Amino acid sequence: MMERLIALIRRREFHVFLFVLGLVLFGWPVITFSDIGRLEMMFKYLFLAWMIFIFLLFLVAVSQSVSSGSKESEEGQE
Amino acid sequence: MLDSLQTIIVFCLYMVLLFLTALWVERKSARGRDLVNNPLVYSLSLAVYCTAWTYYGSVGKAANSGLIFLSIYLGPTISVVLWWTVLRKLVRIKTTQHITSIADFISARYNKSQSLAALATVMALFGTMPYIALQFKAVLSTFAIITSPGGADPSWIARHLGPVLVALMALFTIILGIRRLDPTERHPGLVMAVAVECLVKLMAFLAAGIFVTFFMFDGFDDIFRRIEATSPEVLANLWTADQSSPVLWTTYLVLAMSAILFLPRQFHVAVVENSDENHIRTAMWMFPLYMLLINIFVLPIALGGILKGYPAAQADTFVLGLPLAAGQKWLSLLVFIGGASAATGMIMISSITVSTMVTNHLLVPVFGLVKSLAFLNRQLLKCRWVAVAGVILIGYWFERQVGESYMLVNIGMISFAAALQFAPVILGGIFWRRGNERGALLGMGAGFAVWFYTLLLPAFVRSGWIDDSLLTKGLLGVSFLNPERLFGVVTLDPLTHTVFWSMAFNLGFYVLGSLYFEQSKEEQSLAEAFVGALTTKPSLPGPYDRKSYIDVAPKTKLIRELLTQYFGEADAAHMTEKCLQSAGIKNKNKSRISIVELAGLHSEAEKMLAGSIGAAAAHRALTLAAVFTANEARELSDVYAEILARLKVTPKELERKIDYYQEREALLTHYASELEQKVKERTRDLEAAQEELIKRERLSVLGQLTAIVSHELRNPLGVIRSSVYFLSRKFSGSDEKTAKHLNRIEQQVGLCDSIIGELLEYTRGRRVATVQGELNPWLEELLDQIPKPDSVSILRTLSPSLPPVHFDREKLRRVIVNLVENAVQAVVARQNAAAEQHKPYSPQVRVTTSPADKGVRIEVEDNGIGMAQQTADRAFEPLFTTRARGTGLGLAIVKKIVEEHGGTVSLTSRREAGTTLTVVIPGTPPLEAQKESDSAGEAPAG
Repeated sequence: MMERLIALIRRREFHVFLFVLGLVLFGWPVITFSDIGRLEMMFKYLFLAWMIFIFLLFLVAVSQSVSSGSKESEEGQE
Repeated sequence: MLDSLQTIIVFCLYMVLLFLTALWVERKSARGRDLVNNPLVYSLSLAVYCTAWTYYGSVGKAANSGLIFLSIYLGPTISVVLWWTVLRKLVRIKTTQHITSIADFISARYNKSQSLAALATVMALFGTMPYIALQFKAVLSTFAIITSPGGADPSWIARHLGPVLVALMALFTIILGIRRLDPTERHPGLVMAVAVECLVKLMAFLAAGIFVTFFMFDGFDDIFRRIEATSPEVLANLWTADQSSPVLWTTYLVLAMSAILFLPRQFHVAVVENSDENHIRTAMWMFPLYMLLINIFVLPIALGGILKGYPAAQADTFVLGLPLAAGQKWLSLLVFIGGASAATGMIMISSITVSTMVTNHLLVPVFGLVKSLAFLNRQLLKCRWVAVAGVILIGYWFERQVGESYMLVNIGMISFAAALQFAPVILGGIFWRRGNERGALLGMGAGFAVWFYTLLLPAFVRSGWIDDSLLTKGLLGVSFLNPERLFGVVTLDPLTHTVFWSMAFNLGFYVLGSLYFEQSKEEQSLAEAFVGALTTKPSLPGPYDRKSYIDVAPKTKLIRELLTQYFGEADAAHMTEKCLQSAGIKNKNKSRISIVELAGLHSEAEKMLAGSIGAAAAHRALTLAAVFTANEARELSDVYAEILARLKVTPKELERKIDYYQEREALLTHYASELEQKVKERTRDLEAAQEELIKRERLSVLGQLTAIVSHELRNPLGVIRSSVYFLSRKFSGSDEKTAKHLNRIEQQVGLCDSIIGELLEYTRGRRVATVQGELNPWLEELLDQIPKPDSVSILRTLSPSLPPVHFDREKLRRVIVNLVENAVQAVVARQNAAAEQHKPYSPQVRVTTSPADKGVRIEVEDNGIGMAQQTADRAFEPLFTTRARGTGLGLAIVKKIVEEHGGTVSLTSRREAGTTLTVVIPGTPPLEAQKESDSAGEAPAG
């Protein structure tokens, strides 16, 4: 299970997915969803999403560490 | 308020501390201990992205435009996801191509184009100089704020801080950055100094944020609650600003994504200063975390300032002003140091980057063109010092001249838009093989021109340096060419407008130009090296030094199972062991092997299987067995690619060389097989010669023995013959029986004498002594003398036109007699057989002579019993006979004598049909006979 998860995170397609996810989370139209006057909510949403995104980046970095233990070049999986 | 002297002393101490730290790192590095080779330092150094503009300007932006400032940091966070592909590739290329700057990178990719490098340098200069000015402005204005708040007259030190700062920066940068010419353009001391500065600015900002949020207020919620309660219109305004600018937000995201790598200073720290590509992994999460931390208190500080009654227009100073207003001197000093760190870090890195580019891509080409300046090529280091000092000085001068202008305030995003112009050529360069020099030159040139016209020029207008008719009426009064409404696009804000048009032109020209113009061979090779950079690893170990991580056991099992499909289990196991041994794995007793060793094992298994089922079937079987996983197959490809890269040949060239070697191999194989064949033939000849020699030796021994025995036998035979003669005379007329026995003894003695004669002739016969003469008369005389039964007639067909031949009469007599006697015996034998079977038979022996090629042919033909083919084949072998009483030397002696004459003898025979023996005697005397006759003709010496 864990190995499959690491394999998924290591995949190039997953990185592209994460990139698109970032664009969705931090781009239009999501940034315009909340009501007027709810700057606080937007502030909290952005930082929370940012933290989660950093955690995902951490997983990507760790998965690359694992993969480099077994293989240096991941050209085909990126 | 802080004391100016105190503040400047603390600032100088801080700089000295940084300087000492950097020197210490440099010395350690010189001794082989690279302290900068560390992911933490690398990640922190990337935070040079957060300049004084971030440090102070973000709060100002938040107070006036809401959360849009976050997009500057969210953009890089999103793009970081792709760093393991993009940044790693850039670093890999930097290592292999010895790249020193972003201009150098672009030039190296596109046919090492000087024009492109020069253009990139000019663009970097345009984008960086005002940015450096902005950093000076930040340091100088914040120094003024903390030393003379409330608009009081600045102190003498504050008024003269600028030149001091310029001198400090120039000195610091030169000593740490370009003290010497380093081909790698890596500066460990400087990078460590920047990393420390980034840590300090983060600590300082967090300290200020924590103070404002948790000490001046009761946390985030308290700030939001208060602002909502007291100034709801502020929130509404900010929210409206955010809501109304989704396009601008997106533009910021895009610009920031590009700027994080393509701002010259960012490229320098992220790519050029990278000492290990594995550091990218850590930076992928640590750098976004850094950005999150440095931004988390921006909005609270902005709102806190507004809550404290400060106007939003002064929000740039809130970070410093709020602690200062709260009487937190030391915190204010720390914040000032943090801000100065942000500014100086940027100035140092930017000035080094720009000065390197200016020296390498502007000055050096000029030195090459202007001969009177050629001597400066040997003074490059000093030129670079001057360039650094010049860049810093011009930055400061720029700040003094246009410090409050529209352009300087907005230079952050203007620079970002300039850096975006590098993105298509760099990304295209590492992912698109077709991208070429002319396309890049056209694209980047067009993008830069549009950027200049639509963004920089309007900034000049707004700063009051150019007449505003350009913006109101358009270029030459043509509104269609209005820089901010180019081609009638009026709905976009100026920045988005520039990004849109510059990218449209840049990308369009780059792609079309690359497609239109052909690449040179050199360009193709470079494109291949850049695009395929990640397929090879620049690490020092050779292509065979791969990590052993593949478990042997499962691979062995796979191969054994495969072999078991074709052989028995026991054999398969044995063969697998042999494969492991041949691949050198068993000897090392390893449980894990590298990809190279696995390839060896795979090859051995294939060879083993090919020996039984053929190469093609074996290859297919091994392929189906999937000994290599997808990753392993890719790594194996990498190994080959690395070998190719190390060979420094293009794939086409390699293919050509392989073809050549294959041809050569084929030729060598052909020659080798020919040689082998010749060796075999020679060996066979040698063996035959040796066999002949042995045979001759044996015959020689036998001859000697025969001669001795014959000699010893002939004496008693002579005595017996004499005695028989005496007895036959004595008992003549006596009883018939006695006479018969005496006659038989005489016959047998004669036979023994004949056998001895033949033996002596064959083994020790004298050499031929030929005399030229006519054959027919001699032959007729001889045939008359040969005894024969009356019933047998010898027919003669002698050709009258025979040429004279050289022959030894005595020796050739033996030949003819032997042949005729054999023929007579054959016909007599058949006659007897016919008589027994009462069949009619007419015995006949025919002797024929005829001219042959340069000689005479003698044929002795009979219609006797003939012989089987096997017997005919061996007829000339000595001691071979089918007769009860024969020595088996008759035909052997014939052959020997004929060959001594230089002639040939052959035999054809068919059972119950007869035999024909053909002798050919050449017209010329045999070589040996000639020699003998020659020597006989010579006068005896002495």
